[in-house]
Amino acid sequence: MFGLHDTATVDTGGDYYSLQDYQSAVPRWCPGCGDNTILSSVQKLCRDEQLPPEKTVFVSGIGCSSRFPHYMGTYGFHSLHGRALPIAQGVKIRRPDLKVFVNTGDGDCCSIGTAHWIHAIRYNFDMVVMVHDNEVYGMTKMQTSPTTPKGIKTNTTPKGAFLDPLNILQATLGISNVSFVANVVEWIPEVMYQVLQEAYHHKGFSFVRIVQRCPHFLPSIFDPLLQDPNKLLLLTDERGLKPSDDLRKIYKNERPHDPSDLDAARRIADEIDPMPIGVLYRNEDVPVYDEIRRATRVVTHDVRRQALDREFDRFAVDLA
Amino acid sequence: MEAIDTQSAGGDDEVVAVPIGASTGNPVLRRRTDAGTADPAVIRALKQFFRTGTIPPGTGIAAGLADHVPALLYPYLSHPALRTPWPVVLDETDGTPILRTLTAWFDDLVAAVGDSGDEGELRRRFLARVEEAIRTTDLPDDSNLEEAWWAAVDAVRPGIRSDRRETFEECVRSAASHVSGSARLVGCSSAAPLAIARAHAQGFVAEMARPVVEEIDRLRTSLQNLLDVEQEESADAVVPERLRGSAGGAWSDAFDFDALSHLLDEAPHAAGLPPERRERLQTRTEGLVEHAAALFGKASSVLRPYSIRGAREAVAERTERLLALYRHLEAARLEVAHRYRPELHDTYLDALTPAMLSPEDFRRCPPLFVQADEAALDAAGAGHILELLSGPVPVKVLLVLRGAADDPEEPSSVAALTSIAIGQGRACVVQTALSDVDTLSDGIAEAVRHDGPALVAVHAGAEGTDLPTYFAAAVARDGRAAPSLVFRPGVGRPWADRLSVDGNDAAEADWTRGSVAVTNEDGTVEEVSSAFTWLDYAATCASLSGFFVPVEPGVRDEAMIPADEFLARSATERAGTVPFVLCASSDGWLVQAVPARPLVCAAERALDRWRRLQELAGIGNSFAERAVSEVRARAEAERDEAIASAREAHAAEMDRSISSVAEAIVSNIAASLLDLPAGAPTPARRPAPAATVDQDQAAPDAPAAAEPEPVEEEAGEALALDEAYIETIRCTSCNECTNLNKQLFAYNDEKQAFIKDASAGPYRDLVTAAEKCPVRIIHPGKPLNADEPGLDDLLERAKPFL
Repeated sequence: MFGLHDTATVDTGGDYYSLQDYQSAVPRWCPGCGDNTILSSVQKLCRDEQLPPEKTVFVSGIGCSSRFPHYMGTYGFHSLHGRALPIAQGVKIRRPDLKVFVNTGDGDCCSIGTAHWIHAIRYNFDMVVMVHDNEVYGMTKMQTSPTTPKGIKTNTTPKGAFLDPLNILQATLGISNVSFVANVVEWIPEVMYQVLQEAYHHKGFSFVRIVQRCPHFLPSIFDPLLQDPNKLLLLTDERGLKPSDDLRKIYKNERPHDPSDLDAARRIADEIDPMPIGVLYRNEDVPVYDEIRRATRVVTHDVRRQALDREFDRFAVDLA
Repeated sequence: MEAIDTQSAGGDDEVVAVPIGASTGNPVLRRRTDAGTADPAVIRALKQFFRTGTIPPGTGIAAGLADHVPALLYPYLSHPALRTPWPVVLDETDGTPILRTLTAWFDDLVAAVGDSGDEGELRRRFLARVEEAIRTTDLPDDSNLEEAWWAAVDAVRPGIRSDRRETFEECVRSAASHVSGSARLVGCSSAAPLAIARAHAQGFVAEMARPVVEEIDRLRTSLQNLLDVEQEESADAVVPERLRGSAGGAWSDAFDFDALSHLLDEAPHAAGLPPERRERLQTRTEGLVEHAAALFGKASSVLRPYSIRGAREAVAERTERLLALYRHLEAARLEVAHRYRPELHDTYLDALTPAMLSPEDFRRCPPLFVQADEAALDAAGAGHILELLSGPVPVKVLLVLRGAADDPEEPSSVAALTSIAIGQGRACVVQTALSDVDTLSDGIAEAVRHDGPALVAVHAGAEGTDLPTYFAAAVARDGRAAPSLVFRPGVGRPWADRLSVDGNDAAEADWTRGSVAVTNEDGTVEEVSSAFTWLDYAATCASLSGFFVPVEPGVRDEAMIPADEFLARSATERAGTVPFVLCASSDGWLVQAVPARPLVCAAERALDRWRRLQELAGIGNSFAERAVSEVRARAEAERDEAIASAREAHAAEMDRSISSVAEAIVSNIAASLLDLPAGAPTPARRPAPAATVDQDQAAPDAPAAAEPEPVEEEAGEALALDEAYIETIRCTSCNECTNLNKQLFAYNDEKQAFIKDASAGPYRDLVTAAEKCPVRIIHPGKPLNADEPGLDDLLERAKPFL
């Protein structure tokens, strides 16, 4: 109307953040390490979503993957072993305006951090959690992790791992209030990017397990998956994974999946060969803790000082 | 003069615009929750106001709109940097003026300096901020583009992040080379139509004058030659001084010019031109020079606009000039051909009157501009305009109007003027609002180039309104008060070919429609759709404010009908109802404004005019609609007949099939009872479909017919294998290859690897990288250097990756 089209105002778009704005130190991961791919995809996600670096936080625990915040041009918190999730929750509850991402490893999250992991799922804070699952402790030079496959020889199990690995997808899907679970492999950047984007847009605890190569300590453990595209199964759905035509020529195993079906998600999580890739489960109706428990009053320095003064006054002696 | 360019030449690099309402600073239009049943007293008062224009006391409502605007317009008014078509950029650098909207100019600029990737996006945003700064600066109606550009750059610069300064300056430098120093920014004002007309006319006058001026020059030369020849053959040509001058300075002492003169003087001289012919030739030469200069002289004097009354004298003077020029031209042509007979031609030329000049002769006359506003449109003024428009001289009347186009108290003559001009069928008629730059510029261009007179009526918005000029004009067009139209006389036989109303929104409908988001008191947001009628336009006219009563929010009743619905009803259906238009108060509340009956009558007249224009322009043509309706009825009857016939045939076929199947069943049962071999064909069995038979009969070892042939693209891929390449889209950014050779391998903007320069390293590096690549996406191709050491071994290693 009035001679103006629907798009009629100048879009100056504010500050534009380029890929460079999300890059920081030169990564010190080994050449060929899958962490590089994850870093690259996450930086692209931040650029495409134009997340202001000063409003974005990456929190990590300990391990190779936990060096992640060092390489992001955003705020970061390289915390204690297994403690990434509670720190991220603390950040989010205090500063709900920030976009919070967590990078943790299979050992960091599913061994020493297990208790936090379980409860973080239940609390369903709005954040994206990436579990870099290379199935081994890499930074501490090759020890068995909770996801190391049975029979793999490591420095702690020279005769081969004795136990079946923990199915972390199944475990996550078993926790109350689970709201988003996805599984990807880092060597298909297109798929990983799409799933991370979906996780970012999900309101709640978006748990993304990323199968990641460790070229140094377990260089050939994923060779069957790498060399045979038929060993991967792409889970497609309208809002989630939409492989490009080029990708479909290589990865021909596809299955439509309804991510709102928890039972189906659990069945899929049990499948090992082919490995399911995509969004297994999504439920947007689960209450988000940082919303339902959002602070209702503003605690300024004055309010805090007055509270302290009141406490001190209880013990003060009135000399007058 | 090029037509105005409102479309950018750029593709995806346009300065991206965002939808209205997306801005966070956009004020929200609110609506009070319905208070339930309306007060019957208020409804009664509204009905009385509608009928009589008066309100009974004690009802709590009062006539008059105070700072109200049509609700559909409200969201637009808060944006400081709307991408309206104004200002326009007028660039006359290369002689031929180029007119573009600022929007198109910036989009082209982005396409020119932008590039892809992050850098391109940064540049786009920088330029968008400069555009925003220009649009939000209070510029004069006519300003220099370059000055405005640098002022905007200086305004934007302090807000650029320090780490982006260098990129910003580089972008500005690059863009500045596209900013013409002589280009002007013409703002949305009453002066703009004349500026555009002059720009269009400048090129046109030069273009149309060229052949005339060339002919005049040719004739002048020929006439002068005649005079010169006569001069050379006269006794004056052999005087000593003349002979000395002819010989030149170097030979001035070489001859005895006195003796030579004496000698030549004794020789017989030509008779020479008769004095009266010489005088005629001189008169024609001087006449051609004088009138050509007056008609096609300096463009600025030719393009000087006249007032309506001054135009009458100018037209008389211009006609006399043209007639005089015609006389001189005709006489000069005859003189040059030595066919001028004074006794014959003098009488003919003296008896010439303007009426005897043909349309072709008047095409030699440059356009004469007349500018007028509404004040000059009294009865006499309108009469003068119509007189000018019916004459042969190409008078271009430019009317820039303000005020209500159809004041109920005093019906305007503007609409009548354009209607009569169209009816006369001689003048090119353009009517539009100042907001419609497309119609304005294209229409003016057509009017200027039209052989005869033309009328351009531009509505510049109602007088006294607080709306920005652009919106004041836009509501006039969209409310059908000043619909855009272009009438091209003589183009095609049907009127639909001559008259175009395409410049209007929803040209096929009675009214334009739009919607606006409204927030209720409970926080819910609703999209309210509404027509934009002449009454909405009237609500923006200060002079008509007293004809409206704004109703307290929350008052609703079945008796209140949206204006467009009310106008569509018959008199009987309207009984007991009053119309309303949706307005927004200055503090953002939605109200319903009830108009008095005189305004509704004016709206009906406007709608009637609009429908007449539509029909003349071929929209809703009654004759065509009747014809279509007849054809449709005939086609439907034929279709029904065909369906009935097909049904009958189908029923007959079904009967036959049922009977046939029943026979087959009976036959099979009989065969079974008679112990015939199982599956033996029975006489009633229907043959299998042909395709099935073919498949069944195909020999098992025959080559599969459906086997796809080798795909050509595979052959193409095979050919491409000679060159090294990376499946970039699958790259995991693991640094293996780039760590190996950074000249050979590089990352793109998405941080995914590609072959930067295959010759920047040995074949060994390509093969090694292919082996190291964890996702095996590097294909080394064939070696570029056939003498590389150990090539045989490398080729063997490369085989798995080819």
